[in-house]
Amino acid sequence: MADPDRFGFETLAVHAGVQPDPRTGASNVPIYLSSSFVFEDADHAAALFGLEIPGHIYSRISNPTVAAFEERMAALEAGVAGVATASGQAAFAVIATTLTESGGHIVASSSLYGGTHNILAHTLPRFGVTTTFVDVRDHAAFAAAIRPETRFVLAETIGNPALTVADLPALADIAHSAGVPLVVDNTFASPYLCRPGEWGADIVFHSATKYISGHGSVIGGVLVDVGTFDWAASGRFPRLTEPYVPYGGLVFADHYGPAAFAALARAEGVRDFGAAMAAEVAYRLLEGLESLAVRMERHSASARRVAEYLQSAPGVASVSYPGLESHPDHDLATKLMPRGQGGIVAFVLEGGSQAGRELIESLRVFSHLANVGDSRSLVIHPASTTHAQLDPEALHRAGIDEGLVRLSIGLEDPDDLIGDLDRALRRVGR
Amino acid sequence: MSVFAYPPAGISRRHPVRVVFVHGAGGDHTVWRYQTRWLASRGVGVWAPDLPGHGRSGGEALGSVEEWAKWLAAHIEGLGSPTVVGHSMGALIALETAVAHPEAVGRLVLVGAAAEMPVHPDLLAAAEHDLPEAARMIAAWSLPAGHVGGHPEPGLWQEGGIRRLLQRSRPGVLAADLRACAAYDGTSRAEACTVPTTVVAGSEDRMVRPRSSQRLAETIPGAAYVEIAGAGHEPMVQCPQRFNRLLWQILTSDGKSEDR
Repeated sequence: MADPDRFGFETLAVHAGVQPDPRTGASNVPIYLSSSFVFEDADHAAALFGLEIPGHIYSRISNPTVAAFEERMAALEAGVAGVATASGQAAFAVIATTLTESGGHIVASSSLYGGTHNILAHTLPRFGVTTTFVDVRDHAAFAAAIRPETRFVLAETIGNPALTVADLPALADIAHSAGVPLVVDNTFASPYLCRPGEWGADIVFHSATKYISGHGSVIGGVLVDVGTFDWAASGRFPRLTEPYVPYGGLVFADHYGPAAFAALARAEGVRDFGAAMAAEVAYRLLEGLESLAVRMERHSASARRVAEYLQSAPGVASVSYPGLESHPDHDLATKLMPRGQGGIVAFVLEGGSQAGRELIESLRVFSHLANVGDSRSLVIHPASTTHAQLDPEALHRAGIDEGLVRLSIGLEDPDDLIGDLDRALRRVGR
Repeated sequence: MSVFAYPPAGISRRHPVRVVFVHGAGGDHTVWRYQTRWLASRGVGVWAPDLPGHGRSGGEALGSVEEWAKWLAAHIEGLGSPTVVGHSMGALIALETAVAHPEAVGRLVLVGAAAEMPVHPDLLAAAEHDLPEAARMIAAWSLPAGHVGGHPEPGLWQEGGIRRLLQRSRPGVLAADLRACAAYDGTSRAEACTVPTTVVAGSEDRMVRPRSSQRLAETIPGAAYVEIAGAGHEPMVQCPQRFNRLLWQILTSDGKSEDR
């Protein structure tokens, strides 16, 4: 029997962060379309601006509808606080800029979303922050790459698009031994399939555009502070552990305790860079979370069927799906994600890049677009689109073959998806 | 032994300490984050230490409420009888300090406390052998039944915050604190208390039932009892604005009990 003192994932996904509106009785959180919030008096205003008491000032920094989404995400990721952003890319930019400064260094898995690779490889170096990319399965390389100026270790639970699975407990041990946090992009798994905070991650982030929205309708991101990292003991994060001048000498780690990182990410990162989430978007994402559990089960079950079909399909050289026993990370995937291994399937065509293009143009049910986690099934050729800015060597390091095709399996009848793929593969093979 | 406290720069002679905050079992000064800087900005000198063995203070956790009270009295001696605000175990320490050293304490505010605070054997066993489980139990019982959040700090999931704070406590500290609470004979001490006192309870507290807090107020001569509707075991974290209004009212009153 369930413990009456603790709610399960599905209950939190529907209720966390939202109380019935005390004035109107509305059970859903209202969409607070208000740029600013009226202060009770001058003293209240000063206290809010000084971070002395909690509350809303201006929707670039926080908004009640967005806060409900942030709180729900913190609950679902077993964390202490969430901070929503305009996109998943913005969530990572806020994490990176909150944890680093000029001269800082990051150790990242080479199996990353192309957008994350771009900011690490090309944009952040212009501000003096460099990254060493290492094979996510080579744990010794992670440990060897950490330097005194390293500020965090980065990996994706399920790497995009090669579908490598990060050994989160091992990477957490390596990061923590060196006094740095483990940051995990959990977009492909969603908190229903995997909660990285329970496997040692200290900060988790998402492109909420994907499974959290679930319907391909909005762009959003969120970071969750798991509340486990000891910033003071690390000694590498003076902006968290020493007086922060713009807030009257506030020491974030001393004041906010386990929620210190989230507080700084909001008070500095979101405030300064302005990548705030809109209230309407937060509302859509709250709705998306309500059905996340049932959607992820269906996405995973259908993806598994599609992957099994592809294993013996004509013209397919190899199939990558963490739920298949043939996947090199299968055991790890079932340990970290026992309820399902996600809705993304990748495969390589014997005919290479040209065959990939022909296949994509022959599909009828799958939509050809740059997204994943939609209720619609999606297909893309990463080497020419999402990862086009990687040079051949970086593509190889990321496990992206020229003929790799990535599928995001939606909520359609899986027989229709298999039928669509089968017809298209036979056409390519002619 | 080093004592870490808010304010980190130490106590200033220009702002004499008027309010001392004492945290509860396994915790640290961050449970007072919505009060300390808020009061300090309004010119009220505050001191919120991490008790020995807790948070960033050095030393070992002391074994009894009486020993904690001796420690506290030694540290607040000479501060001019400040108001001492204690939460849960910290409230017992504040009460004992006021009874054993009435000259050191000007006023008491006891939050989430009862004269007798027995500890459920399952919780004690978990605190001794499975800290994450003990933290989960305390987090669940510290919040109202069916709690789903809605904290005024944007994005804060309070259940997670309570859990992670307790999980940071050093090995054995939470269990030692809980044993100290269970062993304390608070009823006879409450009867002997002569310091003006307000007992503050959350109406939905499941760690210390409000009925027990009310009995504590009835036992302390002249004490006032205030219940914060909808709050659990940590009203100062869950409902900071209402708590701060009440605290301000107490600090600016003449110290006598009154009907609030």
